[in-house]
Amino acid sequence: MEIQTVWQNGVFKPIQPLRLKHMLVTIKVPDEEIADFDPANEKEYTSEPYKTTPVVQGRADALLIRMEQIHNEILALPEDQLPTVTDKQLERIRAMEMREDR
Amino acid sequence: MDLLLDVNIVVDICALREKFSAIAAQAVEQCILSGGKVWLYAGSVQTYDYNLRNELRRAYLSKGRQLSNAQCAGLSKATLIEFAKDKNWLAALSAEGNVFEAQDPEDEQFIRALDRLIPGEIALLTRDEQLLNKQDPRILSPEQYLTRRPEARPIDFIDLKGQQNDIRPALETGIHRVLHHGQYIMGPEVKELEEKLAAYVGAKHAIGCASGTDALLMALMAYGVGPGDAIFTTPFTFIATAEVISLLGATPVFVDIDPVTFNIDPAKLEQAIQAVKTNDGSLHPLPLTPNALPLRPRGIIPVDLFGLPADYDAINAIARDHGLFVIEDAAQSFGAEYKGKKACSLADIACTSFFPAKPLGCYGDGGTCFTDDDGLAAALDSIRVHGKGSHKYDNARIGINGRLDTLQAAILLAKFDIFPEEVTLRQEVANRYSSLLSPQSSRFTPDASLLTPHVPAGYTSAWAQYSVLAKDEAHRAALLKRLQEVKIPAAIYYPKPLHLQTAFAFLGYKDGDFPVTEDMAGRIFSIPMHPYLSEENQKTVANVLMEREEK
Repeated sequence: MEIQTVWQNGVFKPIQPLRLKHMLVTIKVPDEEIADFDPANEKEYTSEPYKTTPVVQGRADALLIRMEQIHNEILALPEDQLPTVTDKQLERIRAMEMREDR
Repeated sequence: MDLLLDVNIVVDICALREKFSAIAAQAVEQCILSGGKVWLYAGSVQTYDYNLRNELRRAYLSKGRQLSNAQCAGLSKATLIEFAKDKNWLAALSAEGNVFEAQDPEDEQFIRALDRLIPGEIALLTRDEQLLNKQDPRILSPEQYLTRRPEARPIDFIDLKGQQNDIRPALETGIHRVLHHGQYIMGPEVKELEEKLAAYVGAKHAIGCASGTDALLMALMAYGVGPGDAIFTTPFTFIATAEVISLLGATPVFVDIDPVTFNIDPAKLEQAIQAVKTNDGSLHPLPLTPNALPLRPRGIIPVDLFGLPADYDAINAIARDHGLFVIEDAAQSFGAEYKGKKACSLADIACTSFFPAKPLGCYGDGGTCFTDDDGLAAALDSIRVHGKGSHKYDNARIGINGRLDTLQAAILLAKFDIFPEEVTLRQEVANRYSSLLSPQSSRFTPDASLLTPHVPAGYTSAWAQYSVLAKDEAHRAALLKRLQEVKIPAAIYYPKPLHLQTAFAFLGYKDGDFPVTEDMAGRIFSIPMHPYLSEENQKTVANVLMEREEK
């Protein structure tokens, strides 16, 4: 089925009423419809499906910055200061490797 | 609304997955900021860890860096420890164990965990399409969560949930231990609790029992109270205080209260004892007695109302002069202090309650008697187990089935660990209320003044309730209506004094016998009070109470 939707304030709105079985569907947008990035018009074209307050945004940023700091600190450590990984653990990790969770 | 985090959300944040970490972090922080709890599922610990290690290896490899196993392990460990710091752990229950027949056992575990939680109060946060396509309103993506209209969190009168979250690991471990050892009656937790409680209040003996009411009943039984005995107490209390007197065939003799502390007035107590001794109702209102027989003064039950101890120096002195015993009704005051001594150590026997709403409350009914007297302790121990003697089937006296459940003792042990801190927090909340509701506060109109509780020098209150006095009954009704309109809970403790209640009509008391109590009953009301009440919520309550009345 092909339908038309209006792109308004970052949200697709179908022109005709539509009931879907699932929450997530894939919409194919022709490449020629994708606007080139233009900082001056960023607001007009950028999708804004959700909003957060500056406080939430600040806390979320702080959480990710903390995580980044941990990454940098751990990766700067010499190998002998890192946890020992046993063969048993490696076996378990390998068992998880097939999993696609991205 | 709380959030339970699926593995992919945790991995997104800890591995800093480029496309997903920002929105996942925003959803998590939005939840915390709006007062919700973020939960990690204890049954997924290994999955969190191993998936994160794999994702870290893959992500760094895509940037041209090969991580060693040790680096992956170190990164996973450190980021998960940091991330879990302000999160709550949801226990995996046995009902979530046998999921092997499910198409996806891991998803099935999350679904089953949701099944035991309250719908609308928690959602599973995930971006797993298979889960999202279930069209289950309990399952949300970060985008869906963030586009929800944020719900206003109601102010709780008493917040038992906040407390539970702080002690959940100890609580669950304690309950689990009892389920496994199976000593449901008088198990080891009861003895452990009794020892801790006795040490805390500074009493020689603590005898756990089934409720605060049973504690009072057992205390009177230990003194052999019966028909013809007069027990002096306050009419401004919960019925349990006087009910137990009548249950034993004795007679409650009510004594009016002090208008400042709401506790029994020692000066009027002296008058009441004289009136009973001389059988002279002109000295003090006296109850009717069967066949108009005179009463024999036996004991006094002062009540530490709302958590503030009564004036025990004065009361104990009067009791000594007249040869009476004193039973401290400390149902609301466990944790309070009086002139350097803890409540529950201020009389011959003290009785407290662990009703859930009390400062130290269990998840059902419970109570304890405290005493320094070895003989009374032995009697109380016997009475609570059907009057047991040295032989199991040769009972020494008539007793009751009044034991404290082992499960409740285990719950109380977990709660007791944070109790001293909670008493301090209650004190801070009370101080903030008193400041916010003081006449100096802005937008205050003198004619709308409220009287806040007074704590005499040398006393501390356990702040079981924060009760204020309106100008009159109409003023109270208007204030309660205003609170109700904005969904702020309030309660009246107590709208009808005991001497005017139907149950005690046989005592023949009448309106006007205890004018201070009757006045307070028409004006008093209690506002939200618990250790976790935020300053913001207190300001909301105060603003509603202090606003100028619309003309």
